[in-house]
Amino acid sequence: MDALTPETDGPLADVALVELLNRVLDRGVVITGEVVISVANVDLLYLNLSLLLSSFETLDSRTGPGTGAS
Amino acid sequence: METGFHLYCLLPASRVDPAEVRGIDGREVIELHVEDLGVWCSPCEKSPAPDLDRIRAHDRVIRGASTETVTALPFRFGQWFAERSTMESRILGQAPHYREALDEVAGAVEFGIRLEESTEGSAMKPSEGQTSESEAAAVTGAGAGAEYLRRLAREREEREIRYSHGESTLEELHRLVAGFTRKIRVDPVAGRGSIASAAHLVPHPRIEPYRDALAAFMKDRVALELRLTGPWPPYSFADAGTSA
Repeated sequence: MDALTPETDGPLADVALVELLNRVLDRGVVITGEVVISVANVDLLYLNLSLLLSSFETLDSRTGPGTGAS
Repeated sequence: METGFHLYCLLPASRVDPAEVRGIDGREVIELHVEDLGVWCSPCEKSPAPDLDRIRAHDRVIRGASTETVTALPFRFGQWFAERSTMESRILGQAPHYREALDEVAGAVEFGIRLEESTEGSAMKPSEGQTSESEAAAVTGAGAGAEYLRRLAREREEREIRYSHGESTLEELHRLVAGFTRKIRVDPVAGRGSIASAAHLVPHPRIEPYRDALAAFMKDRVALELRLTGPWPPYSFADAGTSA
């Protein structure tokens, strides 16, 4: 395979997939408060800030004083 | 009834018809107008969680919005608004920047390049910040700790040499393709297995000579491999005018 052929299928499809994920989730115009974090261009962690905050509030309420949680 | 909107891309209004593309989950794609800007989006009750099918669909819509003369400015996946008025006011607030970015990417596509060591490559190849289990198991007994630390230091030094080599090679490559690229973005972190990574914004008429220049650059290089992906919508150049 020509090294300069766009690699969208075949044995190097993983390369193109990683590139796709890296672009769609980590690049482009951002106008809302959602955050995508990529690690080594492969492992992707998607954080919705509002979801994270609400989850934290839920967790906080469950582990707050009187719940007995440590 | 008011519904939310998942955004795909921005482009000059009324230049491309969105009717022929389908969005995430097979949804219809519509164009909303904010002054002279067209916003391609799908009505969507809630913010869609990213999965592979939706990510591919998101990319497909953006590609469908682009022609050889019109290049859509991609939104990052996850741009969702519950109310149209909020979305419009956000875009309106940055409209001059978006127009500037649209001008910059007009008639161009993005290519991604990665420089990697050849698989026949050097003895430095295996070290990527981790010692293998067999190596770790072999490190036992007196002096083992010192040997282990020496090995880590050696691996770190090899990595630094490799990345430094990657940077200088990338600079050389960029001098060669400068006449065919409109803009270049170098990734600060090359990623796993790569020694250098960058995105190139290439105008349509220069794509073939750009490829030829890359091929000429790689000719006779045996220690390096070049991974080229694309053409992509200009994801890496979508923040033009808004970035610090």
